[in-house]
Amino acid sequence: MQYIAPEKISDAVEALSQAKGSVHLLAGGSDLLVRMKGGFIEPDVVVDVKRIKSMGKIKKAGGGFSVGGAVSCAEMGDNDALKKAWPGVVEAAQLIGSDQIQGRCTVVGNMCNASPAADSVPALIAADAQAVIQGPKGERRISVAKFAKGPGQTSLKAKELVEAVELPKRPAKSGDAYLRFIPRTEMDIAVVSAAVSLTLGAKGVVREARVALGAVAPTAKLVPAAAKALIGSKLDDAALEKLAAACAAACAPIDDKRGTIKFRTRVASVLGRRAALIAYERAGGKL
Amino acid sequence: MSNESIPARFGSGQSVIRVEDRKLLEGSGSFTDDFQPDGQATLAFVRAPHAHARLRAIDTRAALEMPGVVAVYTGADLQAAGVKPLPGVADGWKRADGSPANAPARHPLAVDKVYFSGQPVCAVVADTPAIAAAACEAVLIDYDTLQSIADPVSALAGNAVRIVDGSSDNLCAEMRHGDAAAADAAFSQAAHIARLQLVNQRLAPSALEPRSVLAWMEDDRLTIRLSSQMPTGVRNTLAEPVLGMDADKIRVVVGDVGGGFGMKTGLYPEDAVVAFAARDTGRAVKWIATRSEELLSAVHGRDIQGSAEFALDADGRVLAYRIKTDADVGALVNPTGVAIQLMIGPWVATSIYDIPVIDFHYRAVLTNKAATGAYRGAGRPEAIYLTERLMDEAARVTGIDPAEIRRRNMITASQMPYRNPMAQTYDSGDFASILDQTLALADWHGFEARRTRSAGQHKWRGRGMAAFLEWTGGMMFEERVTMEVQADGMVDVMTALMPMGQGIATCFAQVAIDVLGIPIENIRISHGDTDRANGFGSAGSRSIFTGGSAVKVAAVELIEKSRQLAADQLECATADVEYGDGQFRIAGTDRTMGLFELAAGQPDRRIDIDSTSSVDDSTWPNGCHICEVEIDPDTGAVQVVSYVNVNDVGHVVNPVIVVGQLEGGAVQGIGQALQEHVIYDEAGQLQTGSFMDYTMPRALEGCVYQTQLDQSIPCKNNPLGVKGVGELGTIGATPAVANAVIDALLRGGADAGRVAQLQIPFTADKVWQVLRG
Repeated sequence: MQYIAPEKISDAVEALSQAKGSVHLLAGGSDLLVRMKGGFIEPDVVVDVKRIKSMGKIKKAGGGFSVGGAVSCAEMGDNDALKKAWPGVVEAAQLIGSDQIQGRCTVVGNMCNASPAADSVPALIAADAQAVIQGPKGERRISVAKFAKGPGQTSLKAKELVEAVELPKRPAKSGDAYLRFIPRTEMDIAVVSAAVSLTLGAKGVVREARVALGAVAPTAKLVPAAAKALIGSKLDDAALEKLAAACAAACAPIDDKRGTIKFRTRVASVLGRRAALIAYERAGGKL
Repeated sequence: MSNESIPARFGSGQSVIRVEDRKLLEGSGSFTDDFQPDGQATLAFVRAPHAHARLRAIDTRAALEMPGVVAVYTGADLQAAGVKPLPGVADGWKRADGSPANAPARHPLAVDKVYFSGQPVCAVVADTPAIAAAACEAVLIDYDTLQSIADPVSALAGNAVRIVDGSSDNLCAEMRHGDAAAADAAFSQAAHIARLQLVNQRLAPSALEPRSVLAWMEDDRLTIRLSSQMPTGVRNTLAEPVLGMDADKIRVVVGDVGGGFGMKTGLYPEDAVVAFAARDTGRAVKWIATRSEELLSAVHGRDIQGSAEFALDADGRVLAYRIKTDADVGALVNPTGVAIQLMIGPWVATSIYDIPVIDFHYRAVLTNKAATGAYRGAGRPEAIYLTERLMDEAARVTGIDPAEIRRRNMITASQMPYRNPMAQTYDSGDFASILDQTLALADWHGFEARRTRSAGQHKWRGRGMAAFLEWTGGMMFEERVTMEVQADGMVDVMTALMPMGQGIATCFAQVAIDVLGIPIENIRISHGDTDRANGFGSAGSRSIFTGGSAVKVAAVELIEKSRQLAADQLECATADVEYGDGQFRIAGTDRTMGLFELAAGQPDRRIDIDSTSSVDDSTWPNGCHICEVEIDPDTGAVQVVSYVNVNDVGHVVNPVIVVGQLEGGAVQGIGQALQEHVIYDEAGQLQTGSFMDYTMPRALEGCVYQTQLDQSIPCKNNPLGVKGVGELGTIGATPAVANAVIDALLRGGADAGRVAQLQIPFTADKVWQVLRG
């Protein structure tokens, strides 16, 4: 196995282009190393991105934030400005694994792993985050909502990598929230999850909304009908009922020992509703 | 410097800081895998992928040819070398017709057939773990799969495939206790009948340190270093019965043990294979189980289902108790697993209640699953779960408050000693007093206000109680202790009790200090070496009342002997020599001599005593545990919000350790009530083969515990007045939490019929299914 640790993005792209055989990117390694140790994969080439300076930073960009592909979830939790603007995204990132794992794992890695149950992804989708992709043909951007194609599958082309994820500028009176349901109180994989991002207009009326669900379909998904249920409301019971119904309708989960289809569908509506209430409060709304 | 005497500071009754912890916290413990002898080889197992199959052919040639492979063994190889099956269930247990219990032979490696998925079939010994793993892949095994049996109901169907070839059914053993005719009469006259159908699910004990075995030969002696609660039992079973060796040719050494919970109480097939491989290859051979191997092939706990019913009079007094259960004991039956379900559980089934008539019928049923065995509580959690769930049901049936109906049925303090219908004699206990203390501590009568508060937060609150006792002991009451006063200022104490993390060394040192009066730093407790001490080991919450008592007796004998030696030195009569705080003194004078000074003056510079003593009988610790839960009706998630418990464990040697045992035990019981479950699919494949799917509880699944100890009722069967405490918390927690969940659901308006169907673990998914209505 060949291990390469480039210091520039261009070198990383070059390394990916030159690599023969199976090539894997290494950031925190919390997915990759586990799969290697378990004997599930045997990479020919590992490209470690942690020495690329631009990928190790959280930057203010275009009024929003750019979170580099090698930034750990713990570093996100230590960034007060990011936490203030996107508390839901940060709380999702900080639900992944244990403290030790959070010192290594990254949201870009979480996204690239493309698990339907990835904790940070619904929050990024609700935030309308963009993935910044570098490849042989230069830079391109894609909405995180469209990034995953199926379990373990992304829209990355050969020789491409995700340099960063960008969170947009936050208008005043905005808030987001992420909730998940697990069989334990901590350190587990979501059976169902929900993220909501809201911006309020005059008198606490919801002006903009995005709702995303995790672990209820092959990829985490945006649920426009759920968002629509909230827009124009002050989160009255009728709006919340519509939201819950839209969440349930969007679910196409699996049936397994961790949760039945009916249970996952029901809990998706419950979590959607609860996340909406938290986001609304964070946006300054009064119920 | 404190003015208090040394015993008042370090002796029993004090929360002395554990002497074990420093080394463990510094990472300098001595677990089996910490020993890496030169030339050590790794052993790995090829395990059966099927739950039930005939072995047609095994081809080990490719594996044997791989560089670095030392040996590859099959069951036939071991048989040819004279290795015999592990002791089975046929000797001690019977079927209904009086014939011996029925189960396949427990060959260390499969011979002819495999009986559960994960059973060891071949063993590879290689220079490194990587080579061993690769060689396991290269072993080719041809199986003829058979229909497999994954539950006791299908095991007992008339057309079920027979697990033991040629046998008439899949029953392993059964036992009846009590008087069926008297019970029938009581049920026919009963004013009320309370009846429940209950499942006590299969659990994985899950010690932090997996099974770990290292074996090597020195001349003609075999040494085995492993993680075990019973070094002598491992040696004796391995020696003549399995390897055909004299016991004195085998030395079993145990260092630190990272948890046992009962699953490290005997010889495992894997242990025998490692020992054989060391003898056969002449190499030091090591096997460290992976977590998945533990979940697949270490003994499981519980797994019993059936019906329990009370015949009650109009005032709620229990006239008769009927139990009929089937225990799923797996295929390669562990005799302990059968004893637990057919005998040990029944001993305590009537618990703290004065129930005149019993009719108990227990069966052990064969299935193609891993064997069950001892797991924290071992039979008592199963029995108390039935009794305490049924007591709450009786309260509902009669309309009597759950605390009141328990009180009406309790054995009173004036009935002690009390002989229960299973002929077990309780020496002491004041169950009504324990109940009253717990009701007060839990503010039982203030529940309605808390329920209203929870309802305001959209939560359903419920409360549950378990008032109960348990038996401790292992029926082995004799212990040998050697004690040596060294001239360098240390007292060495050697026992055969085997700590697995409980803090036994600290507690034994405290008991010795009560007599010797020397600082704790001057006492060294040793254990875990069959060349130095042999005995039953640690199981069934026996260590403190048997071993601790033996340490006290040995210390008293040591001082008696030393007083005579001191009298010689001080040139006075023995009767004039007083002892206290490490000093001998001629009474009424200022002439003294230190204990260690006295040792230094002896011909071999030490004073020693070899003491064997016995306690009179078992202990009967008891308690009342009251739990409150909140259910989120939208998701079915259950949270334990309050856990109050008052316990009678007799005198307490170290309160912090005892409270830790009770609260840690309660977390294990909560795990069973809410989330843990070993699940096999219909083909007998384990679905919970890692901690991803086997949901161990964490600290946050519990709550802040309120734990009290009532020390006013000492045990009368041992000189310390102590009662065992290792399992009490686990036994009480499962029914207390389960009763609270049932209470919350019924108060919240859930359908009673659906609630009656609900079986532990009460996962969010299952609770939500009930609520869905």
